[in-house]
Amino acid sequence: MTPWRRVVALVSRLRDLRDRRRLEGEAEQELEMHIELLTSQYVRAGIAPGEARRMARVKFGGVGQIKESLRDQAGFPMLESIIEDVRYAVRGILKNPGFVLVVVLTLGVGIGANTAIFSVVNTVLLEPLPYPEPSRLVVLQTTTPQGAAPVASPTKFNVWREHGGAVQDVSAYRFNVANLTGGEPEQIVAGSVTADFFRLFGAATAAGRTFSADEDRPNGGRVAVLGHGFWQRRFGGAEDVVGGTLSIGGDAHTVLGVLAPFDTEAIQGPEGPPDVYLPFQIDPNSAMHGHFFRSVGRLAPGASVESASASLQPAADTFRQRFPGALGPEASFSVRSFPDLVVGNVRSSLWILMAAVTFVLLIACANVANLLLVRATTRKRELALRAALGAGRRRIVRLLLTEGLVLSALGGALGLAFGTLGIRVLLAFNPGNIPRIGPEGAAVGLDWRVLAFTVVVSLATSLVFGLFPALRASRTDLTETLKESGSRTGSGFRQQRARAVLVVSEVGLALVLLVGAALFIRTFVNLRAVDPGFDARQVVTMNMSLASGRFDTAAAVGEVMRAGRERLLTLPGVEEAASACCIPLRGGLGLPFVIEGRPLEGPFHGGGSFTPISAGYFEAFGIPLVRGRTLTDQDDAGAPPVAIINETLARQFWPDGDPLADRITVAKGTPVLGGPPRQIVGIVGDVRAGRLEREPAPTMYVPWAQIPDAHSANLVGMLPLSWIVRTRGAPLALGETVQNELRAASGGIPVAGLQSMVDVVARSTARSDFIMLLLSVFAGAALLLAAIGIYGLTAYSVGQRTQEIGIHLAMGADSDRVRNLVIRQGMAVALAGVALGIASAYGLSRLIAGFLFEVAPRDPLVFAAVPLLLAAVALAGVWLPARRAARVEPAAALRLE
Amino acid sequence: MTIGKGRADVLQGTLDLMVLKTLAVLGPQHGYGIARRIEQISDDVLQLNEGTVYASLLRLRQQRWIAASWGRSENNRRARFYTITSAGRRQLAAQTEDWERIAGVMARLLRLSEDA
Repeated sequence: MTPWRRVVALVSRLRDLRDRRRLEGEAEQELEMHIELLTSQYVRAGIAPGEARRMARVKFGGVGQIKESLRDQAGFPMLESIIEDVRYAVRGILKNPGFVLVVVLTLGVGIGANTAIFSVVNTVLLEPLPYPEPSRLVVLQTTTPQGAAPVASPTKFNVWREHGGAVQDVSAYRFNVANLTGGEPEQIVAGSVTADFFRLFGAATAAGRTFSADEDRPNGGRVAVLGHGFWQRRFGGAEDVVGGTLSIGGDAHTVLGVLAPFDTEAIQGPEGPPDVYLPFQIDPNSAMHGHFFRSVGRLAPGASVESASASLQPAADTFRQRFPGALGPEASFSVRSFPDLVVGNVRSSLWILMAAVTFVLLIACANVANLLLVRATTRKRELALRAALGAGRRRIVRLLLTEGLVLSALGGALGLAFGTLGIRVLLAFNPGNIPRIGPEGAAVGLDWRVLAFTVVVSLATSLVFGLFPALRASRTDLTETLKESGSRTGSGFRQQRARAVLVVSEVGLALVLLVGAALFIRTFVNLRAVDPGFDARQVVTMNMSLASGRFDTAAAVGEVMRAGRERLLTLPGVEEAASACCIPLRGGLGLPFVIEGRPLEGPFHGGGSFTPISAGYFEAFGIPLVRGRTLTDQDDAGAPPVAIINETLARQFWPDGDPLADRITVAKGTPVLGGPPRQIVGIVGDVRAGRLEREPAPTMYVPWAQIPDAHSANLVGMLPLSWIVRTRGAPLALGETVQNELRAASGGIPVAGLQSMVDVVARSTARSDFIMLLLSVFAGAALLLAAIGIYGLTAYSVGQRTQEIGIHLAMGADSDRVRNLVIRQGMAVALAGVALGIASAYGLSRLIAGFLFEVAPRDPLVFAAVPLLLAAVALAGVWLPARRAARVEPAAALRLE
Repeated sequence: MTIGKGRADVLQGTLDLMVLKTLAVLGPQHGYGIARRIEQISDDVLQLNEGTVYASLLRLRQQRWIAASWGRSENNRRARFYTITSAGRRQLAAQTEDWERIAGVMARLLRLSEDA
């Protein structure tokens, strides 16, 4: 047929599709009439009617065949039989609501969990960052044998900018709080960025311009660019704000322009999105080695992370030449993918969760497969009849697969709803500090990838659980089946074994998941038990930015600290008050030190966390004093320089000897940071400054008033001053009062960021808490599904063997023996699964070793308790059917047909 | 008619042609009538299952070369009658021409080899 004729025929077929039934009826009539005419012809010729009819049929040819060929010719036979299958499947569903409900719910849970986790994976890992070519963005870092530090110092930044190798547009950024002055002072978020920053991250302007390279130099003037949100909020989007001035930290800044909406979620700090952008103005001749900002660039076309890292070798050499001793011999410069940094180690946690939900889904599929197998046996006769009536084996398989597809489509729809809603609700309550998910998980939701994922999972699921019964059913022996009577369709040994295999696998999977969850729970418990070294209860913290000309001496800062403390201590609800550069769990400043009077091999003896504080710091935090004394208000600028160290520092550097007899000099000989020798006057307990699972770092505490002015000025420019108040009553209740007192003490500086210390601590463990919570939920679901699986298997087998049991009982068997037999057989399956699970868990648990804290991947307690738990649950699942078996009425059972 | 079609196609095409011709000559007919006519003309040479006529009629109808309508048969039963359309007549003319051309060539070819 020519192509045109094919098209014409196709169009006709489409038309016929509509009138399916009518056309078939008409064809039926037509053919019937033809045969009648033939028949009457033979009858007229004298042949008996019966014979005449037979001959007419022969002459006509196979009626069925003709009908078939007509059917093939018209409409779309393939499509139509599929539609028919679907209709049949839907009818079957409506007739068995209970069965369908169980199946759809089971699938809904399994698919839903997968959808939920994938939604998060999608938002966090798969969605590209909202910047131009985000995969080409890299962060510059220093690599040492201990690890890599993605932070920059002015000295390193300058070298990187000059000798960037394969890294282009080297920029720097740092976000901090600042005070908007002039009028009612208000704390805002200010981003210090280099001129290239806006181009690198694709930030466009809505009005005016961003800074030029000249304005980014140390004396380039005071200019600012406004963030879009701030511009709308504060100035109502007025165009005339460009060219005007803004007073920040007491200094007037000319507004150069306003940014278009710019998503900083991936780069902003805990303070939130920047309200204004100020030029970083890094001195190209700086000798400052403090690492306090990030440097990011873009890979040159054709470069990779590896080749770019290698291309930084000349930069390392230049740096060593310029600053001898500042870069260790084993250290080097490298780059790391920026999106990678943003995501951090959440990636591996998310993959663990995905593995867990996959297990749950497989278990759900095993259960559904079992249910379908059961149903297939009850339909065995019907299927055998179909086969007898001419449905090929392929047709029957297709029929059952279609049913499976319909069920999984329903399950998938339900799962999609469960999953997307469930995860949104969960994240709204406990975001777990996961990057990129937006405020309270708002950014996680339904998009085409999640939808596609759910569809694929549903399809795969239906294949997994639908194939089993379909293959089993297609192997039915017709005559055997048709001969068998009623419900005793003799599922046969093979089918029972198939179901047992499914149950064994799901029990095994459940056990692996439970072991994983148990290990995480133990880690969680261990982390909770870690003594953070301070008492967070009854403590609140807040901060104030001292970035202003008023506070360029340490004495000035010291005065504010003293005055604030004095005022706060007069309040009745306040037990203790203090201030410092940093609070526990929020990081400190790393600086090297020298112990006076001790022989020196390198430039320094060691390094530690350097924390300028006020008096009352240790008392406010409840950090115990081990020896010596803590700071008092007398330790001010005029008094002899002192320092207090923590136990770790004392232990590491004075294995025998008395720290209190020695003096240390921090950053000796270094410009800006270097200080005088200080007498060590006290040793305090260790505090976990970073994450709880890390060992406490060696720490030095000094009175802020006693640090060099240049260093102090540097610090107030970099960080806000943190205030700590220990209250007698409810900590947050005093918030307002405290803020007022501090504002008065500081001459009007706004206070912000009021938080209870308990929340700060909670936030540091939020992520692992969240993962542990999810894992426990999944493990629980797996346990429940496995229990249902065991129950189902045993109940069904009892039901099938009712006659047999009746005979046993009639012959005088003890009903207890019957019950025990059922229990033994049920438990055999369960225990086989448990054994399989233990073996797998033993091998797999090594994979999560990196997440565990103080618990071995093959922890004996977990490996003993979990199998016992699962066995107990299995026993519960087996008990009910076993009891029912023991209660069988022999007479009734024997009568059962 | 193109060279190189499958055997089934050739048979189908031939039957289609016969049905078209029958309708062109006899006017509106039902399936039974067409089958009788073909049987008659071919002198029982063609041993077809009569049912295949209906497959042919369906094909012709899909190509819009014939049209169907319901009427009354001789024994006053409801029957479907087929009529050739103008497109059908054109197709018939074209295919008749093809056949005759080939028949002519074949005849000459066969006579040639006889002479030789």
